[in-house]
Amino acid sequence: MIRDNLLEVNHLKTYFYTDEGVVKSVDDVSFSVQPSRTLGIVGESGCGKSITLLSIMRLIENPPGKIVAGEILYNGENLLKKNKEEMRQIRGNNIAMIFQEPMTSLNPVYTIGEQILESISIHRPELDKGEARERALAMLKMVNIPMPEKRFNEYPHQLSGGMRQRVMIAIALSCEPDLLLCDEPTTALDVTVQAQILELINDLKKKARAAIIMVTHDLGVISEVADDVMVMYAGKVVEFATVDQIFAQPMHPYTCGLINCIPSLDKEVERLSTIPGMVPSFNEMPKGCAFAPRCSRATQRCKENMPELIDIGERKVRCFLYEGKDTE
Amino acid sequence: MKERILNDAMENEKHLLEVHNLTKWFPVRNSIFSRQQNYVKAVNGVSFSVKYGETLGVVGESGCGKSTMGRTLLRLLEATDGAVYFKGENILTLSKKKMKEKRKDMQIIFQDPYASLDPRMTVGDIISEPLDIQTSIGRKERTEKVLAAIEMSGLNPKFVNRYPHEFSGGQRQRIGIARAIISRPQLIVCDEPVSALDVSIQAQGINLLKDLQHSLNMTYIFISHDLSVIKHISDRVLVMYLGNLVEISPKQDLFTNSAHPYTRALLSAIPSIERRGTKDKIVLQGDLPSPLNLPSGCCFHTRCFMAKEICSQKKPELQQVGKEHLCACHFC
Repeated sequence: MIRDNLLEVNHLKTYFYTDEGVVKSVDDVSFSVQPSRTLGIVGESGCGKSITLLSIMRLIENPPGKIVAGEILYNGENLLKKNKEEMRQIRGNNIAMIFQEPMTSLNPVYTIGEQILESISIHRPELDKGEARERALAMLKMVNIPMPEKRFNEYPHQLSGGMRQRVMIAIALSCEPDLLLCDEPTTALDVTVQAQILELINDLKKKARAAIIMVTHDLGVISEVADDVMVMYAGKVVEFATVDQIFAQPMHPYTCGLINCIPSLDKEVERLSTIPGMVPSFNEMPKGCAFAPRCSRATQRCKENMPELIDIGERKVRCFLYEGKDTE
Repeated sequence: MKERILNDAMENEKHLLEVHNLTKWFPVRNSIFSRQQNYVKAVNGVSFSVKYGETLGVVGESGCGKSTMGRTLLRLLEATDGAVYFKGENILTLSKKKMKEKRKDMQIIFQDPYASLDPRMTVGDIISEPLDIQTSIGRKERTEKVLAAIEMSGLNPKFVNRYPHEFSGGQRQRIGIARAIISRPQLIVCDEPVSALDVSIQAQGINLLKDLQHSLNMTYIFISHDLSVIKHISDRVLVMYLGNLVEISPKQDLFTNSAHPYTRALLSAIPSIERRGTKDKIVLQGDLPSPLNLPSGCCFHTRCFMAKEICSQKKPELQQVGKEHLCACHFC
């Protein structure tokens, strides 16, 4: 099936230049997202998933960070060629982002209302004050905040974590972006509140035909919201598949490991299977496949050479085990 | 062997820990001049018991009082009311000196491996600290014990003289575990020990805790908000809501046959790979009410999908709904 890509990221490389050396946080990552679809990016901390999102938003601090190569095509236009002013117009208006920590990403000295109005007044200057307020209230209602008129004049500390995350979503959606980037939006929340937020994000995809990129380390969350899944390890994509494929038949040993080490709700096991060791730090990155030191199926070749990302039907996987098996 | 020890112990005293009506209220004042004293009712009359060698899981949303309860049990916080019998002795009335001696039998592992280790102490000093407080042990014996604890926790003995910042989250949590087991306690309160870790590291931590429990014959109170972790590690599970015990049950019964509507909502809210695509989710509305002024009657009635008139008027008592399975709901 051919779909129009709303966002296409090609060979993105984001490096950080530190005193100890170059950290290749995002190393040759390519993917695309379509309207009304959710792409889930999974991986453990430090695998480059958040930096991928920040690169799309062009929010990488320089120095030390720099997007050294690649292109980010939004509706066919390369975001990396935009100047600061053009980028400001796109941020919030076309592409919006929800951050992980609802506790720290709202400004404590402004009311909820003022913070929503801020982005509306920048991106919709044609609205007068009354109309802008109407719109802000409508947004709060949409994200199911009870008594929006009262909450409008309250400060972030008066709201609970789940409420604050809803306010963040309301701000992100206030200018009807068609691409929404979510960086662990529910990690800091309780399961019952998480269920509410995920329902909200799923609704949005259906009603507003928005494209969503959801970054999380929680495979359970991915299984509930994503259509496509991209697994990252040490800055590289190791597997790409639809959500059904990835859980029914994970291919890369890292993906299998991730799925197996979650305690099951339905099965009873004496011991959890684990992935031995931990993610290598950038200055001890192995020569070959970055996962080889922790992989139970690694061979001598894995230790010396980095496998390419190979196509298997519509899926992609970076592992020598699947070489020459390009049909499913 | 382990079974025999357990049986002997059970004949003498049935339970390692018995908790009666444990209550912890934190006083707060509205303003400097206000006379009226308000209380954050963090733990509200919780009673339960823990058997020798078992793991009691404690679940609930943040702010439901699980950590406060864990700390009050060990007298890291002084209880407002109630009694905690550890091997038949009420530890809440012990003198400070006697309590200090008792502490070698009851330890805690904290949630945040970054905040719970002193950055200026070496790993060896951190792990051996529980020994300082107790009887004087010779230097040689001390070193031996530290090395043994380090090895049991899966750390490399040559790390003894390093500092906490040199370690990853998973390794730090192992240091916390080594510190907890060095005095060979009988009871460990594990307060979200793996929640701050990545899934692959989390699984290593859970396996380690299970192994140590078997080899050292310990009893755990395992606090977590993650139901799948609780399901894996616990023998029995206690569910808390706003400082109240709402359900306690053997694990199997709780997960297949939960009686309280809150437990059912919690279970259905977990995003799970295996239960992908199931549509009949119970999504609770709203947030946890403030523990400053608890709802009347059943504290869950403001969010409950089954609430009737009686729920806001009368507080439900714990009732037996199955073998060892208690639930506080008017309709269970």
